[in-house]
Amino acid sequence: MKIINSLTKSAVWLVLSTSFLSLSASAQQSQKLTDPEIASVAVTANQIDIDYAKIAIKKSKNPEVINFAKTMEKDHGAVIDEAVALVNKLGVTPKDNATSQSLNVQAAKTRRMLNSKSGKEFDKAYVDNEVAYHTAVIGDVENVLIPDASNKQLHDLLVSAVPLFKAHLEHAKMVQKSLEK
Amino acid sequence: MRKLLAVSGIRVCLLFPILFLFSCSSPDKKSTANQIETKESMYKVDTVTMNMMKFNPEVLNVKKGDTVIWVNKGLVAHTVKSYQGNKFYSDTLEPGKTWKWVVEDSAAYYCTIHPTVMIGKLVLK
Repeated sequence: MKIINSLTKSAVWLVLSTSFLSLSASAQQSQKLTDPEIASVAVTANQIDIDYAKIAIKKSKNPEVINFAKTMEKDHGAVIDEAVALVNKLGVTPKDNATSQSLNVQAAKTRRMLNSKSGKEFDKAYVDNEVAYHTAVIGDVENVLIPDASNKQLHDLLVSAVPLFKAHLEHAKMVQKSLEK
Repeated sequence: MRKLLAVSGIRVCLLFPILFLFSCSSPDKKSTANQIETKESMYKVDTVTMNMMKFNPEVLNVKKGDTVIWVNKGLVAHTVKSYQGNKFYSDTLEPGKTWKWVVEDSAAYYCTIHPTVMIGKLVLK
């Protein structure tokens, strides 16, 4: 019964997280994001996943989960480095906006949720969140950030990041499957 | 007149050994060069790029002795590792880095960092 309750809570949490990201995307559809705002959202979204990964590296005992988390930390760090190099080159200053602020508020809740768990329960919560988070981010990048980007180099960077996020999603699903065994 | 004949004689004497040596050594040099050329043309160098989370080409036809160079043109680091028998395993290749391997056998390979999507194959012909 305790396990069922825990699983139900996790499922509700994931539905809320995913629907939040969809809502933020639909809110953006009414007002086009500027390039400085897109840069801010991109850096924020990548940093959020790095922070989740750091928690997993610290808390998990599962080598597969730790390995996945290390990949997330390194890959999303590389995307941030590219984004920062590009905005410096273009002379653009990332501009904080409603979407990046909402992402940070939701991420703080998710970090609290992850920090409250341990052992196998933590591993499942972390990996389930990675599947939901990457699914939502891919949708937002493809449907909002890429269409809104005005600068070609920023547009191309976002396009080149999509296959990476899709690879992360597939990797997360693989780890999710192995945790079910 | 005598002087002229003597000079001509010396010239012939000097030219003959030079021409003789040239005629003997020239074909040898040519044949050595041909051998190297033939050996070099037996093996080719192929490039596989790593970009947009894919090996390109994903399947590469090769011959034993060919060299394959993997070039990371992507955003993030990758590796190249054979599935079977630890035939080859590159270092971590940061963006812009390359790694090469001389083909010994057919091999299916993957990126250990992104194992679900980055898969390639070398097919020995």
